[in-house]
Amino acid sequence: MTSGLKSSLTFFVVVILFVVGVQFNRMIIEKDYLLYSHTECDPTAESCFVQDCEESEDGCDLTPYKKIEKLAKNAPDCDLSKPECINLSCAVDEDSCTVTSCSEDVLEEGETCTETMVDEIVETP
Amino acid sequence: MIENLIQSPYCYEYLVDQISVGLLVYSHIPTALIALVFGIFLFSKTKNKSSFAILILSICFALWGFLDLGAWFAFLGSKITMFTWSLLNLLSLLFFSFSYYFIYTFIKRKDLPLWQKVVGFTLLLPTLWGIFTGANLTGFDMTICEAYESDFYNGYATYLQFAFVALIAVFSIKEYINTKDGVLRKKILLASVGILLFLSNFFLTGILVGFIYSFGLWEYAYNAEIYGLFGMPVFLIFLGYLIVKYHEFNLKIFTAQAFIIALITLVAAQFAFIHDVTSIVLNTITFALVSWVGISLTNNVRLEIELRKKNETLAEHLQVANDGQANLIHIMNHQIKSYLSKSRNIFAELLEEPSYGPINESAKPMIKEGLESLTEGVGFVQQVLNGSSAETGKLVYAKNPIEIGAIVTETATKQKEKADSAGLSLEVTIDEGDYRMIGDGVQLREAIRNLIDNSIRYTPKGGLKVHLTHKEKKMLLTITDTGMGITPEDMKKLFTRGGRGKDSLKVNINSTGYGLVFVKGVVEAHGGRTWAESEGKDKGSTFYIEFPANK
Repeated sequence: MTSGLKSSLTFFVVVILFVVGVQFNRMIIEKDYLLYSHTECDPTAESCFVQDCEESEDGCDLTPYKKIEKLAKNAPDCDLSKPECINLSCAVDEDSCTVTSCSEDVLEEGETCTETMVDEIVETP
Repeated sequence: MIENLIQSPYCYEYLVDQISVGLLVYSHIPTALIALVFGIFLFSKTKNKSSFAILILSICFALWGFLDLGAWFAFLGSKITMFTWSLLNLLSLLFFSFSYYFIYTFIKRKDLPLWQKVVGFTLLLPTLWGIFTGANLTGFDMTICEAYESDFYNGYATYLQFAFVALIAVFSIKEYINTKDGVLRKKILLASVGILLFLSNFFLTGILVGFIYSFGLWEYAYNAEIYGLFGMPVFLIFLGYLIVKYHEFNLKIFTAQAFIIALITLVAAQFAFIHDVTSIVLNTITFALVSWVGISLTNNVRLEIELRKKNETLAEHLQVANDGQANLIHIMNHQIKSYLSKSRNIFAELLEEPSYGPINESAKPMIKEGLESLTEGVGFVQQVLNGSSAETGKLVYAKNPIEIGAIVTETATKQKEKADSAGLSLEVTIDEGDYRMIGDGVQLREAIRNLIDNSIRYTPKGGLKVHLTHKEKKMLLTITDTGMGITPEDMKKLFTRGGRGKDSLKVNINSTGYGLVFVKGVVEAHGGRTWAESEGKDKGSTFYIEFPANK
């Protein structure tokens, strides 16, 4: 192998290892990324998200929820099949943790707010 | 086995609703492995820029394949998915850029200019920046088990991939048009079509997935992603063809080996998605059979190829030896001719030059006989030399306007005396027509003289007919005799070096076997052809010379 090829290969391997190392550290060790999930919401006390069943073709889950985003390193190591992950919450003064209630500004496709639903129920005799 | 790896049952259930896990593994792992093995093998055998490019390309593609599985398998945990997903854009851009590096070094046969390397690296910097700052992936959505990609960094990677595909296409087309060498053109076509099929398939399925996804057709989007990987085996097939057909990368690999390796890999990969015992047993038997038969087959084919190569080498050595021998004979004949010519000239001078004083009358017949013998000897050697030169193309021909009719008449007239002394008739007929052409009158005269002389020597009784005519826009000279004829066995070696008839030496002891070789060489050098026909032994022969008219 010529020295040119050797140094090119070495450079490539070093760059890849460096990038992989940085990402491994960030994602696997430090878990420095945000988790987006749903958390419990009381529609009688606050505005909750709920699936818009008019738009949904599959089965419709009317469980109200709020949206939560928090750092993975501050969240338990689980998924939505486990109770401790179904209702994540933000601790007091927790960094980068946000709970979002439903409003028109933050609605996405297939969602509606429970406040809107209540208004519709009240208005319909 | 996969059940032991599940960290997130929710995401596992979510995935299996969308796609077959086995199919996902089968589409990723074999293509990644085949690419990786091929790239490493190629680079280990041929360490040049092109093979280096293929090595990096295959490593990046293989890594992409394995990491993409990590991105799909969110059931391994969000951290694994985030880690693997965050590197995908960089790896894809690397194999796109090294694809361009490969096509450039393959076609140009030199390294990429430094400025292009700098530009290429600079174009990758935004993607690297996105990775280091964490901006390329904004987070992991636990509800759909997917990472959120940044629109900017994802869009940038997509546009850059498109730019590389366009660059490779434009560069390849330009080089194809500018190359005159037919073989190199084919190589450019194969390499560029192969790499473009691979990259555009990968790129377009990615675009298609995004497009389908935006319409909410999740299940079709997932399936379309798998097909993006199948461009790599197609590219490897094109590379394999380049190696086998054009011996690129100096690899002595052959089709059978490549086919068997691919077949064994594909059969082995089926273990990824078969679960029932019957299928596993059957697949194991198939794998064992394919491996055993494949290895035997490739061994046999390799032995055949080695044998053929040995034969080709032997043939080359034989040709060299033949050429050497021919040269030696040529040199020796030249030397012999010069000695004979000198001796002949001495005898001629003694007979004809009065300044040497009167020659004893009793000595004159012997001197005359010596002179005749030496003259014949010189003629013999000259015929061998001429035949050898004409056969090997070393005879230099003049290009003058000549008239074949006149040459035939003149030569036949000179040979009439010889025919008369042999008690043979010689009839010459020349049909009306234009017999002009461009050629060497001296050599053609000698060739025609040779044929007439042969007919006289091999005709014990009867006579010869020399006829020149036009036939189907060609000039045709026929020399027909009532001589000893030519058997089918002798006909095969008639115009070859030393190719005398079996009985010819009995009739003409001084036959060199080079006369007709000389005639053939001269006639063919003038764009004509010569041949003979005979009904067999003692049934006479006809020799033909044909030239294109008015050349």
